[in-house]
Amino acid sequence: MFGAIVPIILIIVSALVGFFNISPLYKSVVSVKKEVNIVENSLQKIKEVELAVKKLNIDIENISSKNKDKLDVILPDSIDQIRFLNMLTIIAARRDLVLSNLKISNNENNNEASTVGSVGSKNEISTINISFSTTASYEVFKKLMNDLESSLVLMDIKSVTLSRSSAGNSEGSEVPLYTYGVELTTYILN
Amino acid sequence: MNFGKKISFIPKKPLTRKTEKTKHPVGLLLFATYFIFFATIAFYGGLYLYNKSIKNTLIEKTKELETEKTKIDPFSVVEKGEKLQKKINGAQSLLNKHLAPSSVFSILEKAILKSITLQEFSLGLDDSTGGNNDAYKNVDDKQTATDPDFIIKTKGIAINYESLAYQSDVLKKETEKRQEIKGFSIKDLSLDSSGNVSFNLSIIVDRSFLLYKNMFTANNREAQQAQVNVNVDVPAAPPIEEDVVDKNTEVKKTKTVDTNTGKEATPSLFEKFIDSFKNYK
Repeated sequence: MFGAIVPIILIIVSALVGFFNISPLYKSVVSVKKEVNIVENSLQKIKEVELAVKKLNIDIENISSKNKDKLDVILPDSIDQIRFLNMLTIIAARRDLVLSNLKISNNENNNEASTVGSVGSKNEISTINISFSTTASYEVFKKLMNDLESSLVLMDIKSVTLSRSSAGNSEGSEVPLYTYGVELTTYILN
Repeated sequence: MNFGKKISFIPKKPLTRKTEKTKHPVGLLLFATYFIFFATIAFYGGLYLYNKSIKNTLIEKTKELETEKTKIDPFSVVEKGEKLQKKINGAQSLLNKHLAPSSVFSILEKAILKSITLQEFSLGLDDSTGGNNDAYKNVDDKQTATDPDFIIKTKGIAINYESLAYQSDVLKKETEKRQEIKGFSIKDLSLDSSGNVSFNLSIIVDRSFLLYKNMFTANNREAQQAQVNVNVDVPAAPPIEEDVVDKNTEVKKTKTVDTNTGKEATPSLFEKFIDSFKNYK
């Protein structure tokens, strides 16, 4: 009788241990193993990211600060209006010209912005409109236009108006003088 | 008494009854159950230890992950790179679209007769066309509405109708060439007391001819490139004066030659931009 009870008890105990301990423990092991795999994958990814970041850093550092400065001049993040207008007057002064009616206005949502911004997304580049007038001879004004066009600070001339300058001609100068109105646009990165 | 029989007190058969041992199936079962029991316990123990070790591994790996995470800061670098890329792309496209309307004057100088005097003049974007306007002759329709052409509006005086007719022919020929001038119109003719004819002239100039990059002919570009190649040992560029630098000098300054080694540097993101800048020149 005793010989039959012991195996039965042992089997029952084994079954209970299997059901109440081994099964949940096994489930726990499987889930922990999954987590370990996830963490290992993340570690692998982080190492890849680390490599990519290092490569990117090298690429960025390869660009000299001088070139970065030039890029900032072509497409700045913002414009100091006073410095910008001062720059325009200096360009004009090189041709012995005086600028008048200098106006500057931000124009973030105009059509020009979208025209230019079509390169990237619409709102990546904002435009700033500048207008001025000056009195000059035809030849000198052409040189001024060339100066503005070839400036590293990117300026697109949008309109030019010309009319006879009564003031210039009354002085009896040999070269006829004209009054020019110029509207131009410069760009900033948003 | 019968003594013929040998009497012996030594039992010929074992005194105890021979009991045959029958095989008990219970013994095997017991062995099997013991085996199962101990195997179960061993498995449980092994699993418990494995679980513990794997949990420790998880904690270690998580700590390692956290350390690696804090070690690198990809977001700032990526943000920096993205901004730079955005700036390079933006600058590149702006340069491609950069306008040089001063060439309008040379177009006018070429197309307007000496007998014609232009009085007032205005140059601006012709928003009404967007590259298409039936009012003007020979309008090329390849441009899109987002890229309006330039329109020159001017008041002129011709010495007589004949002169104006000839001017019209010249402009017509220029238009037929399908180059700079896309179309023109002469309106509001009036004859004054001295016999001069005043008129309003509108000329549509193809925007693509006013692009800064088109200002330079292929020959100029080659000459500049040759100059760049000669000037490998470029002296230090002058500082940017009030943020204004002549782009004609930029080609020299941006030559990507390592002056220390004399070897051409590996083209980077920015150098690619510079290359396109040179092409743009």
